Amino acid sequence: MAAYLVRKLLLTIPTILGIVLITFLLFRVVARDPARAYAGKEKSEAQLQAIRHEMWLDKPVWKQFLLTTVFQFPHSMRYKESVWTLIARKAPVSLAIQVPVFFIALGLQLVLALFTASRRGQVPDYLVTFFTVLGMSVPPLSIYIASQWLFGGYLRWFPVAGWSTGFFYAIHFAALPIVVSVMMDIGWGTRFYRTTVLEEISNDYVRTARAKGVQGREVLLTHVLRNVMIPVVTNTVVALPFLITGALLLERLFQIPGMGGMLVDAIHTQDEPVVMAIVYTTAVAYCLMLVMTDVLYAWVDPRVALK
Amino acid sequence: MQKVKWIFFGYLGVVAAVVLGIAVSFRAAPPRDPKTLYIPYAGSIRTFDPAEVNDTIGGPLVGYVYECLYNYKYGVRPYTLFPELAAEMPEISDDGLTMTIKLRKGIHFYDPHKQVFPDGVGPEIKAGDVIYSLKRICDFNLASPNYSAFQGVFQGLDQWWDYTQHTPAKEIDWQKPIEGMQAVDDYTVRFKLTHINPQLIFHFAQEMSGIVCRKAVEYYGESFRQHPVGSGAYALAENLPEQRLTYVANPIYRGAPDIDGEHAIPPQDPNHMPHIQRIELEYFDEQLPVWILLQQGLFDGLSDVPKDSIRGAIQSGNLTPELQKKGLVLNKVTTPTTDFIAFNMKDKILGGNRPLRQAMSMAFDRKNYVDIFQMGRGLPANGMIPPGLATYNADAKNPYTEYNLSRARELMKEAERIQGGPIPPMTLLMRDSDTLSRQMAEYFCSQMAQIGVTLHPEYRDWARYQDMVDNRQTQVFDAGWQGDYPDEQNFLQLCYSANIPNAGLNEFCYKNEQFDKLYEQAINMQDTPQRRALYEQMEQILNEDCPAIWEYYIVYFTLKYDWVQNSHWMDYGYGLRQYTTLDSKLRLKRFNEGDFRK
Repeated sequence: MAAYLVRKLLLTIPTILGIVLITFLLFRVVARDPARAYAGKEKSEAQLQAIRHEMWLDKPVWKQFLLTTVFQFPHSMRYKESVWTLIARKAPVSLAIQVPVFFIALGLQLVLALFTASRRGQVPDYLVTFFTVLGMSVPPLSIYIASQWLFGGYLRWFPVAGWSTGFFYAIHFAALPIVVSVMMDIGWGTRFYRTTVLEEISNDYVRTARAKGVQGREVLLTHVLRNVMIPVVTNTVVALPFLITGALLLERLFQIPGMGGMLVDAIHTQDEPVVMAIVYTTAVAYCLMLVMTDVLYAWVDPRVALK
Repeated sequence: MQKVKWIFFGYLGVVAAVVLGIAVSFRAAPPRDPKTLYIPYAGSIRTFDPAEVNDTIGGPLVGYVYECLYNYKYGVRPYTLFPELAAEMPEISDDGLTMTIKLRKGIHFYDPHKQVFPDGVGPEIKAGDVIYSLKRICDFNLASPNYSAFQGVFQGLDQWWDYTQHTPAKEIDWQKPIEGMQAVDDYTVRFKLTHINPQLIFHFAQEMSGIVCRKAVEYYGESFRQHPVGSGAYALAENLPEQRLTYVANPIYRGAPDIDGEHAIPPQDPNHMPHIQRIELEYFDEQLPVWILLQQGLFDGLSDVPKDSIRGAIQSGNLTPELQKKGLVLNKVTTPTTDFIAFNMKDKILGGNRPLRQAMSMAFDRKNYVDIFQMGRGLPANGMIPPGLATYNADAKNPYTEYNLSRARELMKEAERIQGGPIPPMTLLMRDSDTLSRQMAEYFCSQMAQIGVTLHPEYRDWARYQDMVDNRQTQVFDAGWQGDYPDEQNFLQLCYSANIPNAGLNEFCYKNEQFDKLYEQAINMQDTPQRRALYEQMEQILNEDCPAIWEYYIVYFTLKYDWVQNSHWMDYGYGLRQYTTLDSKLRLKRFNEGDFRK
């Protein structure tokens, strides 16, 4: 297993370098001179030279790329701070929203998937399917704005938007985004896991278990659920790196000062160091999580062997 | 089975805890203080360092804390300068090349966090601080976006720039003299200029020229930009990026901007400023939440009614009775900003064809454009010079800014004769690719199609757009200019031919010898009726030549509750909040009577 892990980890290196190289080149093509964008209209060549120096654009391109590969970035020109300081400040905020959303939604998805699959073709199945499809069909932007108006503006149950430090203040502002995100996330997961559960239910071992007199709920929770865990693990582990990057639109609309909003702004203002750092971090985390998924497969399903 | 059950119940427990936490947090809303002014701000603030600030959002926030040599008299029109840290208006030598400025006495820096100075009271502001602050703007290592304002203005400044470029930041000798900046004594600064520059004093009244404390700069290093130490009416007590900025009254402020520190107004005197002791600015990039929060009374005012809310907020040019009843007051302010569609005069089709440019200008329905895209928040332009400047004349008739299709079609015949056939299709460059830009481009293209001019829109992000404009790779392009100071020269410089090379400000590549001659004559003059007459002549030339289609002047619909008083809109100036008062009794009354969020 150790040899397998080492081999997998080594294979991730060219993948990560490839991602970084593509992002780096994209910036060179799209933003040929970010110094001009920063300097604005009233600029002189001397001034541009100084700005390019600050952005490391006066270094040879190969050197800029090499520095990137060893996690060295110039300061963000938009925030005038180190990108790592920015990430350290904003990642916890994104996680404060995304972690509860992810785990609450995951649990509800599984419960609803097992419930609807076990009642396939019955009224509860149709009802859940109707609402999940509805939730998936409405654009997120409309749901965010409608919820702000309804729950924040009209009913005044939640604050409309905003953020504040301090545990209870943070929950106060995080509540509505969490609730709305959970409602929106339930749909696709329920549909996906329902299909997986239905596939499992039609397998021979389920019929055998039932023939042996095992109760329906026990078959679902003990036998079926365990076999459904492979796609659950896959979805869960590969989703984890994206929890840190936050939800782009959600953070923007609810004024949550997290990674998502920062990434949107960075792309919009061509703040290359920030985009590069986030892409790099996410790529590394994603590749590592893929390796971890393989390990977890073996743990969840002993039939899987790592060679 | 048991294990799965435990996991399931454990999970339910976690969900219950989260739900409970959310329920508890309902009561955890941050409290609102009736004596604090709450206002939203958009856009993240990257710096509080005056040398680095060059945007319209950060500028005013820096201006709460820092003071410059000069400022604008509050609420006075036409805009008039007064000495703030300077003791009097500058003394200018007969040849116009030496400017001597005396400083006020007894004004100290204030350090709200008491990190640099244990009791918070910093040193007195002296001539050396003024020179140090200006030198910082001209430090290569700082890469200040404001350097261009001073480049080539003071004698010896280019050598200073070269010196900083070739010296590591930590080894710079800040005592190294610059010929054009001299401290005559502790309270007198003398500037030697390379050329006559009547506009220089305006730069001394912009936030970028705020006087900084060297000890604070050296103490905080890079984080100085987050820890302002100034002498203004307010101090930044809390800075939570993209969340909240809290300003508190500077306890050692002298009470008014136009007096010496030695003649400070006692704090208990009702005339002592700032009148509001605490201001909280909350970061909101999106407009919908701000609009809801304003109506709930959680904000005291807005600098502009959100575009999407105008229809519901304003009827027949006034606020709806419902909003008026709440105590909201609408104020329409026209800003010195001109939006225009520019022509590249080096283009073969456009450059030599004045009737074509005139026809295109006449085929553009400005009023309709303002109604559709600005929801009425704009004033159709009749020239380049916007309101707020002395030579602006609302009644002036410019035949080429009037919507007149029949006359435009006549001009097109002449244009086609010059072209030697139909006008070939041209490109219209837009400075963004969002939906609004696309709609604006569609509108413009359809207007031009009325006279047989075909335009193909191209959408670029800002950096690429600027790159194309700088390299003159444009034909017709969307552009605009916001006035930096109340002098027509600030706008007219955009058409001066010396500003064409090196990606200069003359993006039209406009060249007219008569215009240049008048500009060179005017630029060396102080503000006199003769200079104004020259400015008017220059604008007439531009009206006739049409290097651009002058679209409209931007109007803001500002809103505030009536408990916020003595709050005047100023296009120029800084530290203006110190004049504002807050009637907390009226605020309380409104909250008890109206539909506000308690």
